[in-house]
Amino acid sequence: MKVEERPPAPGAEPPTEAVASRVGWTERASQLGLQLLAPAISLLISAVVGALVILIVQRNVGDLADVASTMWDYGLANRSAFAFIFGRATPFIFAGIAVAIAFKAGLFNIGVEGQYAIGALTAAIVGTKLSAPTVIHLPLTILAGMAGGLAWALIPALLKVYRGAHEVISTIMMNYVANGLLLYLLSGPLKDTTQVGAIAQQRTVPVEDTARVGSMVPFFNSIGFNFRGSSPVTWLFLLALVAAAVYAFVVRRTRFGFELRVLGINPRAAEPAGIRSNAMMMKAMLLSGAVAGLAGLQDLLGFDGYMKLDYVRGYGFTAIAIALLGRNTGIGIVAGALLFSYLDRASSGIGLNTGVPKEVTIIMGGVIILTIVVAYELVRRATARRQLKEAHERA
Amino acid sequence: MARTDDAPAEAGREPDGAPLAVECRGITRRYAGVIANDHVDFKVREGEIHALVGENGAGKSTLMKMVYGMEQPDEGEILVRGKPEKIDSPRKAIALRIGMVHQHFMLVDAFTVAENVVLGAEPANGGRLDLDEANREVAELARGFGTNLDPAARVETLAVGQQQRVEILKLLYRRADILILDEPTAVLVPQEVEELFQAMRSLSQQGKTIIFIAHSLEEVLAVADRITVLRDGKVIGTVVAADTTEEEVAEMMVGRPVLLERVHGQTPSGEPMLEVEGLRVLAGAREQLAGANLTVRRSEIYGLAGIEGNGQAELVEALVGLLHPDGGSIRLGGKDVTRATVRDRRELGLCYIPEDRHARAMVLPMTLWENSVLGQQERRPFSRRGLLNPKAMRQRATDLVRAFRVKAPSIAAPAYALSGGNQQKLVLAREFASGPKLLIAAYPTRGLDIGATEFVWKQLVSARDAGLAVLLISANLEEILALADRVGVIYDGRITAELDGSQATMNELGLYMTGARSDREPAA
Repeated sequence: MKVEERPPAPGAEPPTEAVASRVGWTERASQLGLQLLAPAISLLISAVVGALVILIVQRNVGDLADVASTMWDYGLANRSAFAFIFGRATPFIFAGIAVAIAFKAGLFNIGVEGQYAIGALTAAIVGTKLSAPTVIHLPLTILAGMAGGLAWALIPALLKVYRGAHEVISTIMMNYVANGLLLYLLSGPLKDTTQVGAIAQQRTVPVEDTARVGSMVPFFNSIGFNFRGSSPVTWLFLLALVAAAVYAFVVRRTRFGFELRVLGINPRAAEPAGIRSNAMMMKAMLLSGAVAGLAGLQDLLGFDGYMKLDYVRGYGFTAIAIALLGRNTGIGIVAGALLFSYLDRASSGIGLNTGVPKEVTIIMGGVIILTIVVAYELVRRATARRQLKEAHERA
Repeated sequence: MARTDDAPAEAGREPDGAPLAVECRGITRRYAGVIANDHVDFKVREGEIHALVGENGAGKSTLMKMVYGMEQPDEGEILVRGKPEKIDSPRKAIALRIGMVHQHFMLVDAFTVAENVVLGAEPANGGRLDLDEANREVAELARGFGTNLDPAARVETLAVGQQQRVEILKLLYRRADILILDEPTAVLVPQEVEELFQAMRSLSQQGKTIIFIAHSLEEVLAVADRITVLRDGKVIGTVVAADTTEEEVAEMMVGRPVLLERVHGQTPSGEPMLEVEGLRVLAGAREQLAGANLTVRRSEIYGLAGIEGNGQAELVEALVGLLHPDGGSIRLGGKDVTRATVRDRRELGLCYIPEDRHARAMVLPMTLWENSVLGQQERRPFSRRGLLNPKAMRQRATDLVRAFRVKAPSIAAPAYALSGGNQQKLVLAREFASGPKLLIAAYPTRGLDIGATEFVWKQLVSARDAGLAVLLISANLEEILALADRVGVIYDGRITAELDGSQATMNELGLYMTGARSDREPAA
């Protein structure tokens, strides 16, 4: 039985007017404007609060000017500033996507931190123990990183699906376990025994050159940038951008993404629609872990070249803020990652060039997180009100 | 529409001198060019029960929201007890002793009855909450309208009807004497409806004015003194309940005669499509389903009657595949699907209209075109090798919206932009479009107005005539008797009777439903 062939509905009402199948351009533009409004408000407030904090702590207007000029000169105008921003944004983007995948399924993956630590560890093992040509070694090392992250997400996923254990608790616990494991391995079985003397580091031996990721500086310089040769931007940045694009495509244009969204927004409607929530949660969590595993590779394969004790750097927690800021959209996550990366960059500039504690950028980041939630909610209510009104008028 | 002339001789009184509690004069409310209320004149006398009826979207809720201060009229004025008032917020309305109970309750589940009632206006003793005083006052108020709610009971432990009573108590506690009830019966089971009506009558006898928005005309005629009908934002007329009939009011609402009467099947029923044998579902130690047997054939509407909580919910979930039965078997078109997944059953031709469409049949923040394929997302042309085809999805949505006359701003609008009746239409349209062989419809007309109900009934009948097997679960006996070819009664987890739909009577069904009578287990 096909709908098109159904007899007309009862009564002799005139046929309903054609229903617009797409939202008009003006409508779209105004919606986009609303979407951008929230982050803009949030950034503005964070700048104001940051300024107030500096004034209160330093009691000196001159410091405020110092900070502002440093945030511009060192943070953006410096010749290598963007190389640093892109470099740091790389793990942020991966970690942000990892958080967002789980979010989409209605899950809270707080364990990205542990997952990329383990991912980096497995990648370090493959990167140091294996010897093969780059075309084989590097992809294997990257896959090993994903496998490590996936494995670390597997336990919380199993606990969630089979025992109903809340993923927030179990992923946080796994972070501690990961940290403990790292301490043990780096000071024991995987320790680089050539490191001796007063400044000996607890770290692994360096990964083979065949497993290192190349610098992207020559590429950027060839298109007109002027980065210093040692600037930390690698081809993983491109991989991160590709990952964000793939993520956006999967969420919007694939059946998997559709089912993921249904499950995340309304789990009770998922089952009657033939979506097996347990299987979907499992897939989402494992995928999230695998992508999280990529977040650890930038420092390992592109920068340090080895794993050391202070390897775990809080990317996983910043990523939660980034996913929130970017509303779990691919482009939003990239933007959020660039923003937080910029704050990091500004932070070191402030520490170097001014008398102001560099932690002021942490305060600004915090204010962004706090205000963005409120700002999005206000915008959401405004749009919902408008849509409801439209519904009223038509009904 | 013709209305008796207003004699503006004395403000706040009817021409015959009866005092008015609320009077709306020429109220107009527009939303971006569309008129929700068009010069509405509406008078409510003091102490009466006044029903406001109309189809979904006729403007009832908009009008009441303006009286309660949630929205402001663009034109016209509202008089309360004869005085023009600018009601610009619910706070102002409460100050004017107007209170409103919304369809969705606004209660704190973890609080007690008394705590909920006094919330926001707590009796305090030097800054300390005086709970004893609150309990005393609330108990007294509750007795005042003939209900024995325990003020110390936690709200989450109460039945829906009792929770509604708590909402009314909240209004009384704030000394409201004009009470607005927004579709109060939509959430209640029949027994609770009767209790609510008693409470309403007793409040009315105490001089309270009650305005209630309603769908069921039977209910309206049972309790209201006067009825005002709205259609397309205009007042069609106000009638005295005692002098009118259901048919008359229905015609005023819809604008044409409405026929809700028994529809006979045109085709004899065919081979069995759904066969259920000895189905058992346990919840802890309790048997929610204790060996239910049931057969639904092609070209047949099988009506399952019963008081809610007798195993219907478990039966439906087991049939759809949302829970695994603890015993028995389910066969769909001759195939054993007892443990099959929802998707497999859907592929075999099952379609499902859930009881709670907001929660189980739609994803409200998602667009209509996405909702239009929910449950069919893995089929071509909506997806192919895992990739969605938005064009095909939009096309399907457009077709569904046209075929079922869903009133929607655009198929790109989120589902929450639709009214309840239109959401139900979309769900119905979608499920029918899935090429079904068996339709499971749980309470498909709950909360719908009479026009939408008629529409759903006709769709169910034409589905039957097109050869579908239809299992209709309903608490509405009129619906069962009007549609079902065979009627089964479920009581205490068993099908205790099966009757011919054309011969069953309401009384007879009532006896089976309450367990007063029971047949042997009918043969499948």
